[in-house]
Amino acid sequence: MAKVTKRKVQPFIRGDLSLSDIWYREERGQHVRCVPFSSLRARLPLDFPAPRALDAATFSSVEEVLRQVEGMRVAATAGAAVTIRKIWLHFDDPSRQQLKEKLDRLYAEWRTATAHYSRMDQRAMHMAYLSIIGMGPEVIPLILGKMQEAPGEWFLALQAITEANPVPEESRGVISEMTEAWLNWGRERGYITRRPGDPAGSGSVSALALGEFQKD
Amino acid sequence: LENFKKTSEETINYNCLSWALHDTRRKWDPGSEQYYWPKGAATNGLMGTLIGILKELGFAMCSDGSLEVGFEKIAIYSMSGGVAWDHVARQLPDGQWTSKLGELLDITHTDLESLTRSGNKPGYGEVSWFLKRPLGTDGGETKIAQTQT
Repeated sequence: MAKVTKRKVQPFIRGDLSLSDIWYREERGQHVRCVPFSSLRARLPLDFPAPRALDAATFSSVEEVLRQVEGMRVAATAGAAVTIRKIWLHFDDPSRQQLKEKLDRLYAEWRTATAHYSRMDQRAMHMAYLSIIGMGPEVIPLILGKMQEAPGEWFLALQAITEANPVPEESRGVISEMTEAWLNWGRERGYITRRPGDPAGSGSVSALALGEFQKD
Repeated sequence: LENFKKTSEETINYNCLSWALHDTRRKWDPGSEQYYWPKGAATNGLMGTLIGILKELGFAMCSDGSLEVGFEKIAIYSMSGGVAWDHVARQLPDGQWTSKLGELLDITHTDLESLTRSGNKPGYGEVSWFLKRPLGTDGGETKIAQTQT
C-alpha cells in the first residue's frame, strides 16, 4: 500500500501575470508560450512543492487550471500526497500583436534607411534600431521567430538586449551559423517565438499546465 | 546610383569588405564580436585600422585606381574626409569596379564616381585611398582565419 503523506496545496495564481513572465518553449514538437514555474514561485505558498519532472495536461482556460489545482488541493486534503511537478501557462495577449507590429515597422524603417551601409556599428546607431533594442526582453521571442523565418540583422539587437553572445569563434561572420547559434540559445532558454500557425495576439486565453499527482 | 550593372541578388551573408576580399562566406565587420574581424585588430571603423588590416593581407598603398596589369586594386570610400571608412570597392581585371552595397546587391560600376556622393546624389562620400596587391595573392585571409581559430 502506498505511503500517504498529507500536503496542502493552494491555488497558485494570484493576480495577473505580466508579459515579461511569458517564456517560450518547445514541448513535444509544439511551440508554446509559457509561464515558467519560477515566475509563479513568488505567487505560491512558501511550502508549495518545487517542480521535478514533466507531465502534461492541457486546459482551455486559466479558470480550468485553477479548478484542476483546486482538485489537487482537495485530493491532498483527502490524504493523497500531491506534488506539482511543473506548471506552465501559455496564453495569447492582444498586446503581443501590437508588439509584433511595432517590431516589424521599426525593422522595415531601419532597413530602408541603412541597408546600403557597410558597417553594423553605423547601422545600429539608427534610431529605429535603437528603438528595437529599447523594446527589451519582450521582443526576444519575436526576434527569434523572425530569424527562423528569414535571415536578418538581428544579432546586435539580441546581444544588446540579452548581453549574451552565443556565436562561437569559428562561426563569426557566417550568417547562417550565427543565426543557428542564436536559435539554439533561444531553445536552450525556453524562448520560442510562436507556434506554427499561431495568430499571435488573437486575444484568446488558453493554458497548459504541467503537473501530476504523486503518491508515495 | 549611376553607371552600374546588378550582378547578384540581395544578401546579408557578406558586406562590401568581404566582397572586396573575395570572402563571401563571412561578414567582415567591426561592429560586434559576432562578426568576423581579424583578431587583434581594433574594433572601430577608423580608416587607419582598415588600412592596417589590408596591409596584413598583402596590400600596399598606391596613388590611383588606374588599371595595372598583374595587380588587384581596391578603393576605400569615406564620408568623413578619410577619418572612417564607409565602403570598399574592388577593381575588376577589365578596369571596371565591383561593389557590394551593404546588405543589398552586388554591382559592377564603370567608374568609382558612380558611388561617390555629390549634391543630392546619395553615395559613400569620396574615395580616400587606393591599395593594391599582386593578382592571385591569397591575401592572408586564410592565415588570419587560421590564427583566429
